[in-house]
Amino acid sequence: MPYCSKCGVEVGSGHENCPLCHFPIPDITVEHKREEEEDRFPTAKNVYTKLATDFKKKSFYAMTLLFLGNAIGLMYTNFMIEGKLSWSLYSGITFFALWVYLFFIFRYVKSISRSIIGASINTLVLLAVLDWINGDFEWFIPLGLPAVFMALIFLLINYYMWMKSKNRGLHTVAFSLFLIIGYCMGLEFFISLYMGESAVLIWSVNVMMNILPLALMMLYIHYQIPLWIKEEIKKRFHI
Amino acid sequence: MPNKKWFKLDTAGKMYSSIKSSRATTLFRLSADLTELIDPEMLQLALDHIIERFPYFNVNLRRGVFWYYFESNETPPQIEAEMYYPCMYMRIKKKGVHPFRVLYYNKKVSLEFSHIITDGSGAVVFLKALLFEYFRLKGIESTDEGIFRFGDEPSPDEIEDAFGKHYNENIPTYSRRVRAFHFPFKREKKGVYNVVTGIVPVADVLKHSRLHGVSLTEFLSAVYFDAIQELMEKNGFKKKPIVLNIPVNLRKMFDSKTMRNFFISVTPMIDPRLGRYTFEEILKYVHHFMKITVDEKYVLQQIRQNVMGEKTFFLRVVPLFLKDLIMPLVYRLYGEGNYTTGFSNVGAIKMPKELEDHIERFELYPPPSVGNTLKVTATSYKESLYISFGSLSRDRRVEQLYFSKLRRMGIPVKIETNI
Repeated sequence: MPYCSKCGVEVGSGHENCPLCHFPIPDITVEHKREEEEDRFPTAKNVYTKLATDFKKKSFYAMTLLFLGNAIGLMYTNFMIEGKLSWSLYSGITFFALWVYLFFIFRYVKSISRSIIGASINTLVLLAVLDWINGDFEWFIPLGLPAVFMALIFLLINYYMWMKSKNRGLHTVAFSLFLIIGYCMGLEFFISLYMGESAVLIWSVNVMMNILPLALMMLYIHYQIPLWIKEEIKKRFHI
Repeated sequence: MPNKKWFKLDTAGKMYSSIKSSRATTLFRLSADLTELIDPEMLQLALDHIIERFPYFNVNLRRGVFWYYFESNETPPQIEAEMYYPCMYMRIKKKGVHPFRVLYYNKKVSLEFSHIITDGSGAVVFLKALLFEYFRLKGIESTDEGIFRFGDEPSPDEIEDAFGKHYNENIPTYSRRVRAFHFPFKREKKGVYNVVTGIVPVADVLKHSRLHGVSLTEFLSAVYFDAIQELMEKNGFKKKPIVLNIPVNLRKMFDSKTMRNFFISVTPMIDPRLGRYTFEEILKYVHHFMKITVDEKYVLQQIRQNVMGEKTFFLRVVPLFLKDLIMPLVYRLYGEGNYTTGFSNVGAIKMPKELEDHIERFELYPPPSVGNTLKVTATSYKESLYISFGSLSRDRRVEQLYFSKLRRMGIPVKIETNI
């Protein structure tokens, strides 16, 4: 019978490593492998995956019916009152966009980066159609397009940083805060251009002044306070 | 239309029904390995027969306005081929679902019971009856007066709420709150439950426990305390009290025949902040603690403490959906938060002599728990003792320390896992 030379316990034949400490088990029973051992467990399936998939499916169908019912109901009411579709077009396109968001939230697209890109395209289409229904297609190009495009770029950077980071700590939160500052500044830049003003940054600078110290403090805590500062604090504040 | 028979949940059942979740399933497993492949048709027939002897298990959990209750179930229970991890989620509140399931795989029959309906002792009686009937149908007759048989009339005592019966509101309550040490292990993804079973010769363990003048449960608990203490030291975990939750079967103490839950938990504790405990110190402490607490007066006080809540008018009138929201928090705070892990020993399982050669072993797996990532159960059959660690984590450090300690005492250990 094979034994773990580290733990001293006997293990069933067929184990290459000790189930307790993962120490390699000497392969002394090759010819007897699995002969006297009974197969006591099936290759276990994960019951939760099935439950979660069933629940997701049911929820998605229910939400689809809810959105569709509401959109049709509102359009019908609109048509009956005004004889044409006017305000209900806003709700119709919004329900459709919500349904597409739900598609991505429910992870029908497995890749998160593709879901982010998909949701961004959905937002662009939603904004473009809303602007178009409005009649003059005025604010989508100068405002909607850059706002969504910037959000997409920042979200993707944030996601890849999060995925690449081996040690997820306060520094990852700090980098996200830097991106929020960058996004606010970009947004204010495009808003001020659209409003016909020169590109002056006011409220985004306030955002930066509030968030930046917090982000820097997080970076500092993550990359360790130097020993001499710790010693100094201990010296001056010991009780 | 005649009303279906129904009964109230007992104290433990009321708590478990509200805290159950996809992870904390409240299901524990008792399994028996036979010497031959299971015959599914015969097993189903045995279950069809024997369920009539256990009408209080042939039920379905239903929602009331204030409490859950059990209603007789008209859907016959079906055996299932085992395909998931042990003790996994069951939609117990769904109409027609029983609070247990019977699984088979190769030579193994597994019975998974929800703690909402019964405890380990009730499950042992049911599995023994099921196996007895299975072998009878296979033509292997045996004689044993202690086993419940197909055709016998169930006794009304078997369905009694023993907690309620022994509740005395005039006894002062006692509670101890401890911020116990919890294993800081990363949990596996949902739907995965790892079991490690150590098989040891029961005679060797008994020899060691007799040598120290303690019971087998006390000895195994002391080894567990020592392993957790060493885990804390080796890994530099913050020292906090180590508290074990040891369920004690109350049927003998109160001469009860109930097949529903009837146990209390005693919680011995060592505090590593006070210094390192030698194994002898732990043994002495556990032994005397058990002597003091497994006592009728103390037990009645615990029953009073446990049942008191459900007798309070203001709690009773809280709607069930609110209870479902609050109970998990209360349980985390006052239940699992107060102890590190559980150790449950259902003792030796004995079968009639004629059947002994047809059954290889019995094993018991603890229910998965979110608050106590790791729990341990023990049971013995013939010459072997089966110590099973059920864990929601992949970490094996405690199991390794535990079984290494037994090995260093000269006790041979064989390890089996479900992964």
